[in-house]
Amino acid sequence: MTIMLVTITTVYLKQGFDTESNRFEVPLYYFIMLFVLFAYGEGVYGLI
Amino acid sequence: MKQLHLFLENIGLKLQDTALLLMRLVLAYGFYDPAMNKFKNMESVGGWFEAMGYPLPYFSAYLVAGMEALGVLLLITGFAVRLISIPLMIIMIVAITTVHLKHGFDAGSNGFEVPLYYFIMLFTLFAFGSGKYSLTYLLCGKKRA
Repeated sequence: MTIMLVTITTVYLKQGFDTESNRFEVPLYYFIMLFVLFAYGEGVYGLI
Repeated sequence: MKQLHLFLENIGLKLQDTALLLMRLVLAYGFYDPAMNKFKNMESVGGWFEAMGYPLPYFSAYLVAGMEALGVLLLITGFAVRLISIPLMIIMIVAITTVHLKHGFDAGSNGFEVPLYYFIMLFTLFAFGSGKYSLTYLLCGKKRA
């Protein structure tokens, strides 16, 4: 369900910018991919 | 529960084309530097391809640089996105297998992390198309996503 998605999104947003790698590149890609997942849903290959 | 799901789904539906646009822009930004660097240093890129044993190294160097540059343009304008995503995905696979795989996953150690994300985003663009905010939509209307 999209609820899973919401929790994932909020968790990642809390993590904010990845201080480990000192760059915003990968977290930005994560955000964009999560955004796409939010917009389109999980698809049929899912548990729920 | 179901109400929450439907509520979020409705918001999501309206954001689909924005999501595709964001992916296109981020990918275009990501391919810009590699393309420009290749064109500036074509000789050394060709030499590097030759050292890695690529067939037709100098020709491939031009081909890859050209595809990346074309990719930047097409991804920004949203034209022929599905078409250009194919060579770009191939370039990513080649980059992952021949260059990045041996460094592991982590982006910090030149691993295959970022090329993999690019591949996945290109794959998504191939599947869903360029979205409403694109030249394709302007030219072809609702017939093409």
